[in-house]
Amino acid sequence: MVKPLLSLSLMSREKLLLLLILLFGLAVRIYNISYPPLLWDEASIGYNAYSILRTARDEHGQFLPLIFKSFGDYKPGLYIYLTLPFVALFGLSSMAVRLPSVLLGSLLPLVAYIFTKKYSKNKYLPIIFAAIIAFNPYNIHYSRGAWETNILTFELLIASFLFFEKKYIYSSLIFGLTLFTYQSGKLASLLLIASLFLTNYSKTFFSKQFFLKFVFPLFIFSLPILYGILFQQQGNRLEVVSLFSYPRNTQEVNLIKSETNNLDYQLLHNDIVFFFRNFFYRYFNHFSPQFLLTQGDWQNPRHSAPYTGVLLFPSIIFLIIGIFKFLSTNYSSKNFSSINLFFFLWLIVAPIPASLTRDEIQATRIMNFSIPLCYFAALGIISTLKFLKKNKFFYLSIKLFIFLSFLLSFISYLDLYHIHMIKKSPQAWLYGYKEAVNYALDSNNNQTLNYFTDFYGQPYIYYLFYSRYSPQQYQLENHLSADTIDTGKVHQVDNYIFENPNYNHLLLQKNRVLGIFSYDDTIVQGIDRQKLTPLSPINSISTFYGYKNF
Amino acid sequence: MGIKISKIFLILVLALFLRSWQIAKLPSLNPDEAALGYNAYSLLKTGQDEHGASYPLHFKSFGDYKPGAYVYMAMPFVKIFGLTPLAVRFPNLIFSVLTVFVLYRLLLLLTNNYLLSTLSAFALAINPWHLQFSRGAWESSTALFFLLLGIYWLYLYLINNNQKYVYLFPIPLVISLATYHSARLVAPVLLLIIIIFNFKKVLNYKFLIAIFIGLLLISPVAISFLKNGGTTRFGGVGITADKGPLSRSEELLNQHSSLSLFTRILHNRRVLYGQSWLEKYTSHFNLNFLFINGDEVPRSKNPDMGQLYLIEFPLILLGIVALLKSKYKHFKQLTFCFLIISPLASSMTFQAPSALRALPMTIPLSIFTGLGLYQLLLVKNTLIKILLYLLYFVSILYYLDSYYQHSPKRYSFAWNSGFSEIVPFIESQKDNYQNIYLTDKYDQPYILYLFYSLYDPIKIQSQIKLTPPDKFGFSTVRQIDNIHFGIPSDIPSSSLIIDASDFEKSGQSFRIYTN
Repeated sequence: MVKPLLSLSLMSREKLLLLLILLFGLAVRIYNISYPPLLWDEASIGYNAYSILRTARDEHGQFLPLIFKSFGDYKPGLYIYLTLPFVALFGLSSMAVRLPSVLLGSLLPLVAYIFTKKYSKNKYLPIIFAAIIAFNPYNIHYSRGAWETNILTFELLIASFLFFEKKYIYSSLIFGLTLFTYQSGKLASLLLIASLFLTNYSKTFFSKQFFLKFVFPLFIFSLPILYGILFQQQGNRLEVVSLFSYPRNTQEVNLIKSETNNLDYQLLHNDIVFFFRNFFYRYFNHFSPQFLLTQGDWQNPRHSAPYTGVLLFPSIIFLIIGIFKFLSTNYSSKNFSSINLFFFLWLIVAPIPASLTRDEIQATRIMNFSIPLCYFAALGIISTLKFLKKNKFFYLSIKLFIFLSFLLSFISYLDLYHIHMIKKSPQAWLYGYKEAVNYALDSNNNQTLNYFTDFYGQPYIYYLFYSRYSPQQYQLENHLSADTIDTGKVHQVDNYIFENPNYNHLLLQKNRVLGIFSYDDTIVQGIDRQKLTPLSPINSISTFYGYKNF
Repeated sequence: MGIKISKIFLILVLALFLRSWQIAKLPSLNPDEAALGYNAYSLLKTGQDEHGASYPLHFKSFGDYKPGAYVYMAMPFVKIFGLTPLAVRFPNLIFSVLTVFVLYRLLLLLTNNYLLSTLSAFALAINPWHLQFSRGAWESSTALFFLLLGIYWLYLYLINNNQKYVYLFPIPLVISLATYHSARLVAPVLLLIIIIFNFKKVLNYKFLIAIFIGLLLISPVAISFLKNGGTTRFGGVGITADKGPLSRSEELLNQHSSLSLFTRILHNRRVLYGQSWLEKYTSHFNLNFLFINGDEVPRSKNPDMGQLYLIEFPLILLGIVALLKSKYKHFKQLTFCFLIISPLASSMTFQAPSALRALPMTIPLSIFTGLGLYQLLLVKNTLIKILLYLLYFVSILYYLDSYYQHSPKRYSFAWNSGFSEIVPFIESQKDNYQNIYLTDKYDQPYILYLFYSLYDPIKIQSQIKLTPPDKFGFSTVRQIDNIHFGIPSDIPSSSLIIDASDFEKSGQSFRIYTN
């Protein structure tokens, strides 16, 4: 066995390495896949897939929709359709819901490898690029859950590759699919297509053939979206999250005016200046050391492991080296390759969709940002090694040092992800829904009235998911009410009432009642928690508490 | 030649104008400046500082032991102008303007390119960050001047082989160390790096003698620093003053059901403090700090803008790229090292990013801006040029508006405004009341009282009594004669009360009540 291994040529050694990277990447993504607990959107994706499988209709009774109404947030439907075979195979489980993301996330390094192998002039870049993507926290995090944005990332890379290959029709089809994958896919695709046009600029882009192969199919794909924006409610979501729809507060305006006068306000502090300051604030946040290195998306604990950025620690140094290496290459020199330019443009445009929304930082919306980040980190490693190549001893020790620092940072990430993430913010991660629903299901019969807290939001979907509630039945009832701005809620399904239960009210009931409380409910109502059953203990509390009078 | 000299002259005039316009009243004098001034005054009158120490190298002041050089620099001006804000600010004003000139000379030496040197000097002259700390008695800016001068003289030796400067260059460096805490880390590290890069050149007995002289000169300062509990100040404002990493370490260790040696190392507080340092260090390169929002401390920034003009962002990028391609070895090494080393001292403190402590960053950033402008001027497209000039002009207008119009009003509390009016009033009422109570909402109001009343130093030396230090290691004085700093809940009759509690609502600095 030893001999053939040693005699492997460089080419096949690289392929073996790639295979190892892909396998490890898959292992990291699929290991303990039921962790972390299902989020609302994941449960909804799963249940809608289940509903489609059983009835060809979604939870609201729509026949094979392209856009799913879900909680009223109108989810683009591709992910749900991708989930169908897995739900059919494995039943309705968190693994089935997450597998599409896990698999495409694991294949991403392969696409990256093939793409750069063909178009980069550098021999070692493809394998390093693939390795960085495979072990990058940003990519791992979103591959381990049913995140539509992870699918979008995969599509964008493959569509770009096909465009480089001049297979315009396939590229166009995949760009078309992005419109049905994720909300921010529309803008992301548009910006990326512009980048592709710039990098591969040629006169054929104005030919009739190109129009038919690329522009026309894309136009066809976008028709339903355009229709939705113009004539249906789906455009509302844009309004809800857009930076434009949040005017500056009048207090601030009055403060500025009171310090000087109206003219000064109109000239130097007007709405345009205000908009640009806000835009750049958000844009720069996505290049901040906190985001890249030390905190990740600091607004939402669900978007990264705690105390960790979207990259591994050593990546940041190489990212900077890589970017400036690119910038200092002359446009006319023979070292200049269009793929570098393409990834650089991607790096610049990727945070734009997130910068146009109200959140000051948003990792999910721009997850495809991870690709150019990894690319320039890889380029940085290559440039560093090239620079140090002259001294052999130094070269080897630096190589070892880079490898070890990445390894250490990666192990630290795994620890933070698997041990600390949920314990750090169990409520944000909706820990305990499964346990709570099962507790209710176990002691349930038709005579019991169940009060289930909606403190953590959308409890009904967990009930439907874990009880495998009959979709036919649910479609008949369907009680979604649109009483909040962003999303609607369901108040009751059969004998389950989704509201914060009133403990004193439950105590007075003579019939069989069951109550599920959140930790905060018990505090607000001043309930003695000794009298309740802790359903999902974590740290020193439990996220859910159960009560029953039978 | 004649025209080129006049260009830098014009830039210096501009630098002086921007730094000196309304300097006597804008910004309001803060307690640190008052302390520097009053101690200079006290030394002039009595040969002792406010605490009765004669000619110290570190001034006890609020218990923070301020490096003393600035007080001595202020003495002649206090002698000439009397104890006024202008007198206290004069040394830094001069040195800050001269910093622009030294930068010009240094770049000329390194690159031999007049246009580039002029543009960089221009960028520093109008740099909001540098302007901020030029317009006040900020030791940070003065120390930066001496640091830059030391480096310039060192390069005069290294490049021009001018033998005189090998003995001269340590002197400004020593002065910078005696002026400001942060320079004590930045200057030696920068010097060390320059020595490493020019190892062959400095390997001679002359250079060793120069270093020896430098060490000899600095030793009294070092001894005074150690004797006066310099390390306790680090305990107050150093990185370990931030208890975050400590509690995070406990939190993370508790979340493990069993602890292996590896997890103990991983979540060790030293490792977490290392991460915290990295976070603080890198925060100085956060683009929002530099271009959009600036420092969190109001005194270090202007409303609604970053430490620099947003328009400089593309210029700086362009400048970095140009420098990477540059063939001038010394120029390249020095600029990048300057940029990397400047935030070092600042990242060791509990509060980061800190525009004040990382002020040396303005030098490399101005060089990058200058390089960026230089690159753009090479472009033949007049439209781009006009657009650039226009945007630059609007940016400067925006800054001036922010500094002169918005800042005094929005940050008047942070700037301790109003003392110059309230102190004469107190003086006029002093004999009419048994007790006068003055708010202690401002950091150390006693020193502002001493400053504006020209209080007799001999009288304060005998009665000064510092409170125990707060968590940052700062103390204050609670009483001078019948004036109390801090308003108690039960106020004796026949008292004058001067409060600032309604400050933010009323927009006035003080409210005066009589009892």
